[in-house]
Amino acid sequence: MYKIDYYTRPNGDQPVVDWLDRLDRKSWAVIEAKILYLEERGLELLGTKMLKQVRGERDLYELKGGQCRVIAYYDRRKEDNRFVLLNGFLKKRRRETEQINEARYLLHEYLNK
Amino acid sequence: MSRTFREDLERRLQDVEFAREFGAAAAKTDLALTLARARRICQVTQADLANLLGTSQSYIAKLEQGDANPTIGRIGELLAVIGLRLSTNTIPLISSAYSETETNRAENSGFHVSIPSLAPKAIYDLEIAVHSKKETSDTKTKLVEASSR
Repeated sequence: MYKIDYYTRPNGDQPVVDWLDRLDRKSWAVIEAKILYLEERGLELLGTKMLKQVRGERDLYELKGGQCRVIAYYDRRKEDNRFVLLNGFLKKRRRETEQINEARYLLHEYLNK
Repeated sequence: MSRTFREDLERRLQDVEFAREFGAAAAKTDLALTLARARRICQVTQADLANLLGTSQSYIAKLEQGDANPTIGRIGELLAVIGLRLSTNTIPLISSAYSETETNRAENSGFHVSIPSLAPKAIYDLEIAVHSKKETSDTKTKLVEASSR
């Protein structure tokens, strides 16, 4: 079993929560199911196409559910197998790099809190 | 106040329409994991499996992404060509088990859950397994070894 955290920024914002709240019911249900399996199975999801490592980032993963994407950081510093969900977005080719860069920024912020 | 994944999910599942969508997505996700694992154990590539079924590799990939919605019969066909059949079981929609340690969970041999408005509290067997159709095949041996890990 893994632990799932929504990342909370120093100002109290939770980027994944803000994004989830804007999703329609079906998209929300699909990505929530994937997050639940990430909690239960963790890195076993790498054996499917549901989870992939972000290129060039050892512990940054992209979780896929339909058109939804969530960037998660696997925090090896903790002893509880913790994934920190940094941000989420809908797959659009042009915006993907931008969103992953945003996740990198949030990761930097998280690691230096 | 910060929200948590578990609290959010439990709150959302009070909405029956959301629960239905979630249940559908969870079933597809579970099947994706089962298929990907079975295929790996049988050492069959997605392309080989697609050839055996007369379908495309991209369809197999979609199944293993949890995005496809195959019929039960189609799943049976797919497993049969690699010498397997599906054995299903039910488990709680979500567990409340994170605070439990792995040891405790093993001792209890099940999750304790509450699913408000959907089902009474229950304890279910956790295992969803794929069983071999060929009793003496290597496939079964591999699956038994895998399930005991």
